[in-house]
Amino acid sequence: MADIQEFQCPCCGGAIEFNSTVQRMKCPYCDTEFEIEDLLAYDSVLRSAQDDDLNWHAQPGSSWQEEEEASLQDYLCQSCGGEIIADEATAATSCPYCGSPVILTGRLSGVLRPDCVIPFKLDKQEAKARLRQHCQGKRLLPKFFLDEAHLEQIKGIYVPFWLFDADTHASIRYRATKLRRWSTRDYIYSETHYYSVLRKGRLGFDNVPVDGSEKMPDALMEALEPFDFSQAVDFQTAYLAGYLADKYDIDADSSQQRAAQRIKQSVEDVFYETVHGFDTVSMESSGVQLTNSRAKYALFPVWILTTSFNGKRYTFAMNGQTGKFVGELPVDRKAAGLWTAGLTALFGLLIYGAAWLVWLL
Amino acid sequence: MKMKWTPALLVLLFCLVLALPAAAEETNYILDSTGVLTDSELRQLEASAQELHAQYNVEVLFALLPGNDSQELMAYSQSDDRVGAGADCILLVVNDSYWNAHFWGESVAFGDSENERSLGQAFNDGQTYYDGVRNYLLQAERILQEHLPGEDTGGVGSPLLVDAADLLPADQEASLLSQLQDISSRQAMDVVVLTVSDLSGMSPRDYADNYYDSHGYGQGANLSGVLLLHCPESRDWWISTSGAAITVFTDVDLDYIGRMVAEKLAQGDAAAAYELFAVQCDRLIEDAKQGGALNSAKPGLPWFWVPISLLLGFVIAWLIVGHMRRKLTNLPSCNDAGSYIRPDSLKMETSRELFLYKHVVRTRQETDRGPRGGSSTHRSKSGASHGGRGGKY
Repeated sequence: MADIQEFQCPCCGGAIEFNSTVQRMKCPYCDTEFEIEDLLAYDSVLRSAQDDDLNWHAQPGSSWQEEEEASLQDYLCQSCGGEIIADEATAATSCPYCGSPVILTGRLSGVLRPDCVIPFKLDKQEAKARLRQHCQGKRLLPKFFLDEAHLEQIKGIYVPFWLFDADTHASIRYRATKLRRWSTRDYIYSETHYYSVLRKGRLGFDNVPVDGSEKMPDALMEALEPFDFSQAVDFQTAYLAGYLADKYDIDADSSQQRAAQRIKQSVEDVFYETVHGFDTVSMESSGVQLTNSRAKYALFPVWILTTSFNGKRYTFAMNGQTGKFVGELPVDRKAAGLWTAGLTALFGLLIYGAAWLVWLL
Repeated sequence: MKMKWTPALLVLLFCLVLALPAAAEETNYILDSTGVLTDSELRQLEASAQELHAQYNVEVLFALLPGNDSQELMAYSQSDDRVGAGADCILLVVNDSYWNAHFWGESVAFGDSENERSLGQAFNDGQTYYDGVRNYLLQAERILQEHLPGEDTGGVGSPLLVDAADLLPADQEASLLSQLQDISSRQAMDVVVLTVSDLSGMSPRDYADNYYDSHGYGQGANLSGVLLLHCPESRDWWISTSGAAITVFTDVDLDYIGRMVAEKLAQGDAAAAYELFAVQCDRLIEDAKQGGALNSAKPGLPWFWVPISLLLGFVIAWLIVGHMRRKLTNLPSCNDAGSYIRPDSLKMETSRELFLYKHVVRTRQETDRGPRGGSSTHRSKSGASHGGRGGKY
């Protein structure tokens, strides 16, 4: 005896039966009718769905050469615990994270050598000029922010990033509808056709960055993107001269989660764009698998300005390659309060005057 | 045969004798001893003077004498048998060089030298004798208007029912007039009915508006009132509103009343149509009064507008300051890896669209009822604002 194949209703999930009156498959729970070929096709689509496999299997980075290790210093900040690397020529006076002075601890050890680096394209003068321009017209900024002394504290730092490459193979299923409306004198009709849409394909990704420094907020670093990877070069210690480099605290394995998340989101977005001609489309299931995954360790240039205001620390960053500004600037609450009061009075008067005019007409 | 001739001749003579005073009756107000006025001019001036008499109960008389003897002029009034005997009249006597104005009876109250002079001046301003007499009559009317506002008129000196097309018999006219007077005084708004035999080439709207404006209809500072114009020759009707009546009678209301009036007019029953008009106007004004549409007093802006405008001002200020704050923070989120897609690496292996099933939903339609509209207004030639509606029947 052959196995009895049971079909699930795509509309309500109940078990479908063959209805001899209409000579089609009909769900006894929601009264929807189906052609048997459609059901068979849908069933095969369901069976072919795949699960996610987002594991990386690569080992990034390499070891330092001896002479390189010799020329690099490791700094530790006592107040915030931040660790930075600088070449011996750089006089690091204050911690880029919290502004307090740093203490020389010793040689570099236990750290991987970066695979590549994007050198700084904008120097300090440029950075300060751009920052000043960016702050134009921001009336709620505290006055001291644009002082020379404050702007001078901007620091150029190489932030460690893990870069992930991968090929993906994805299978995504959508539920889509087409709507048709017409009306007669007494009734409005609306007819909905339901479809199951399947997309299977491949998509490649290169250099998806995840920041490897715990001290640098992930949201801030992601906001600085994109970095133009075409300008990256193989790492040389010479690039570190005059700048600081952050040591990575998060290793590749922990970072890959974030990269996988972003890649999966992108794949879903791209596949969604390929579904055309429907009135509504919603994703039903998605399975993304990563293959050929590789990881790299790179340093990206960032200008950082940390400001303490009213007990809060504000970090403002600029992409050292593209000049993009991100971050939170401090808000002068007193100024905000004064502005609110002034504008309230102004608009209150205007509205009252307008009400009078309308009343008199 | 000779016997029959004599009585016939006597009868004829008798009739002539009777006719003479009748002819004399016609030239009651204007006396032209020199014969400079033609018969038709005389007739028109007589008609105007008669109208004045009817309106104000004062005879406005005129006498044109030959010669230029001032003494004769002064003495004329004694000999004129139209004046005296307790009659209220104004008399202007004119000869080649002099004029003299007199007031008798009630009119003595305003018969000061200034008014006398204005009457003489008015006559002198005329280019011809006819113009002069006409000016005199107009000036006399002005003086009378000023000093004798009529009781049975709306505003200053214009009756509420003007039946120029002569559609109503006298008794119906009287009853309709009293009905209109009653409504007008009760509702503090003139309700006027006007019939004309021809519109002189004007549109019904313009004719009605101008008639209303030029005859000084309307009560209160806004000259509120409503006028029904009927021209049977062109089969036109028009209702013109002014002042507070514009808001009381919306376009929808005017259409409604107009339809009913037109129906009656089409049936040929003018009296019923006008009565219907009067009754409906009364009802509508009464309703509006209950609903407070005629609330003329305009107190100042109520106090609660102060906190409301402050609140609204605060909301706007908050929004603006919020925007300024947001400008300070710039943290675009980046939840995808869209910038890192390898170019041209997208390869779709399977692309399938599978039809599953369909659903049809049917709902009953509701019929829509339109909202109650407002009143449209336009300006008449004199610049006053009027609402109105009209049509053919």
